[in-house]
Amino acid sequence: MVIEMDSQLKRELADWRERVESVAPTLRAHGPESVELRTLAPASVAALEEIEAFKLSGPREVGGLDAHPTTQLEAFVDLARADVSAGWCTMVQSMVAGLAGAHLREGEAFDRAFGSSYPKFSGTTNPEGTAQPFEGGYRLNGRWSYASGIRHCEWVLGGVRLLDEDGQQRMDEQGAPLWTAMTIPTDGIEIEDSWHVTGLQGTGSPHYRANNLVLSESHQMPFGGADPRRGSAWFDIPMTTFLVVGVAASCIGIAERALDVFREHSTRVRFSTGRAVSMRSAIRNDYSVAAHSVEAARVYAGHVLAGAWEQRQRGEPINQADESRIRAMGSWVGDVCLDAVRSCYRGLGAAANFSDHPMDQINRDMLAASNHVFISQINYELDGARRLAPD
Amino acid sequence: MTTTLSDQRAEWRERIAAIGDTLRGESEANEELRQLSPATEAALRSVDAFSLCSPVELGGVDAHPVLQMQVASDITSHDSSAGWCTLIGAHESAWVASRLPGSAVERIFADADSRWPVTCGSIAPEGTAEQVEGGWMVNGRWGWASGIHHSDYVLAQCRIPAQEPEPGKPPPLVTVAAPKSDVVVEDTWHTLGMRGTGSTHYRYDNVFVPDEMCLLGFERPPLRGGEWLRRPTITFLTAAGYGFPLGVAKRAIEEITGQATAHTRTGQRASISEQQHFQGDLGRCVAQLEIMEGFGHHFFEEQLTAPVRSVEDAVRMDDRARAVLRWAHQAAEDIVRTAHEHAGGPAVYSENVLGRLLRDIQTVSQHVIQTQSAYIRRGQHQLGIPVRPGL
Repeated sequence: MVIEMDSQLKRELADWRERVESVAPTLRAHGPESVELRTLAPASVAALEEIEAFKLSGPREVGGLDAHPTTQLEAFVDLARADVSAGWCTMVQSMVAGLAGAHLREGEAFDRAFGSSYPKFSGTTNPEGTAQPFEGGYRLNGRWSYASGIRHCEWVLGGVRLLDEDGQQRMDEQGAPLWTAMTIPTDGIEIEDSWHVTGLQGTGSPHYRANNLVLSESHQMPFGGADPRRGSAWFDIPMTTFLVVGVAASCIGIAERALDVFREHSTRVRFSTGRAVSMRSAIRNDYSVAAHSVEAARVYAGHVLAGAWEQRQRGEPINQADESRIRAMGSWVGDVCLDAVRSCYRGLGAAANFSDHPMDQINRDMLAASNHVFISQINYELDGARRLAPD
Repeated sequence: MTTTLSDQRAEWRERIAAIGDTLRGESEANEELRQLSPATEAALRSVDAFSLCSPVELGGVDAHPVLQMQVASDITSHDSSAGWCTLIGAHESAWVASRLPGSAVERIFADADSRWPVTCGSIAPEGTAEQVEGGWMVNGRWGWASGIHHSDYVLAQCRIPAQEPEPGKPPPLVTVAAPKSDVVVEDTWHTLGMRGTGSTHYRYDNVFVPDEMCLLGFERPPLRGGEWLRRPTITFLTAAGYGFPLGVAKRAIEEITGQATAHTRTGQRASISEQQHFQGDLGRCVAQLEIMEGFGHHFFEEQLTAPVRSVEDAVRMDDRARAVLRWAHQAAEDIVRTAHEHAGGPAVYSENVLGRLLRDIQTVSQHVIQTQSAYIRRGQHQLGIPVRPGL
């Protein structure tokens, strides 16, 4: 059984390596266009659709591919290495659609989203909006942020606080505020032009707004990772655990690209030393450290995810300690990759300062990615608390 | 009337504080223009910032190195680009004022009381000069002309193809200074950070420079000025140079202290300022800043009077100063990076001050003066390995 699973995974990995390789030249060629447009270039979106990248993390029952988490990790890494914006949008669209596909109840919204073709989803579950009962459904108001790829998506998620008829916050039995996520068609929202950022410009992750938008009850998506309606056992894990894979993978892809670009430009002669960058022993040392760090991060991330997946295959839940460990893995991977990119950027000297140098964009993207909340320092605190907790 | 260093420092602290609001208010305009805004330039001129390092006999301040550090730090803490342009303009003006012959400086500084003649330009030997009657015909293209848009003179260093280098000696060089109206200013300053400095490329296209505006070589004893102007060139540059990372670090701590109280990260119940991990990191950053400032005082006091009896002494002093400068930039970057990371998502937006500070410190850290060779050469001195003049 184990051997059979291994060979299946190998085939899946090889298949996705080929798929990504087939579109990598297109993605790389259109990378600067995405940065310029501040949203993913149409040609990149088309290339990703061609290889079904947006279906990678979705349940099979709704047309997704439900790939092994290791395959997801590897594919997101390779896509980000080809073009950071494309890789980032793929993981967001794929994972958010996966969440919706697994958790959305049958009904009008589900039929609209998944009935005819596989949808592209973006958005956030942060409860930055409100939903008030209205004619059997909800009246939605709110302003959310970080909707990567929203301009090529048909749907977004929006986290909301649930209000009663009088506009007061509804509470659960323990007195905590009730909140949920809504699936919202993008033709019902206003997309702002707020994505003016240091890096990840090509991901097009602006704010979006709902103003008195009326949605039926079917648009409510039970929040979080509990009790998925569809999909493999991998969907029955905490939401942040499900999503951290994508951010960590993007960081690895960015760092691997930095190592590639550094190598390509290391023959440049610096006027101060009169020698090629690659001829300096200190630079060689730093490059080796960075390359090993990134390789170790990729292997470690794969190891942690494979372990969690096998745990789910055995029917064991992902408990809070497991969740903390997976999240801390994401933070650690992010830190390692940030250091590696910094080392590559610094090693190329002043030439890397200019906007037309590929290392400039890589450095920008890494700075932005490393501030993502899923890989923030708080993960270490949570993991440390679990590890230090009395038995 | 004799004033003490302490009096001068207090007076300059007030002087810079008086233009602080203007400098902060113009930061976005500087970034947008990709050069200092007219209001920023006017504010700096109003406090005589560009004359900070020049000889007193020409109307300069010839400030004590500790005062240079303080002024550069205070201006930088309001706006990085203004701070950088101040130190570049003050240094290069001082080079012209202290090295060029009397006939030239009498003309250049004739109206210094009403408008200080600011100089900028590069000391990389990237052009060529041909000796002609009464001067030199200069051609070439250089980068990094910080402040060129508000400068009056532009320095350039050139090789002399007609002169054979002496065996075992560096190739012959001539440093020239032409009025800005004689050079072509390009539009190449599209960068990650330090956007407001306007450090673009410029060209000398067949520009005739009279002998009185040229000096063979670069490391020449000054004709006028006090003790600090007589220090080896790199050492001379580091006092105000050290003020830059100091100012950036101060501003980062000021910003994160404010943002941490106002902002709660997604998924957290308490503000950033209530997180113990943040409190610890902030405490570390404040301690680092105090160490930077205290060490800077000690170091520059010491360098002001340290004996320089030989070329070897000068090389050792310069390399020590470079290593100190690199350390200060790394310490500042660590502080900014820590603050940026804790600030989370809001810091990725272009207008966020912490985002800007991180872009700025990373860009300046690529400067040739504080590259990795600074540490390598310092290590070679420590090991007793002979170190040749250079970078």
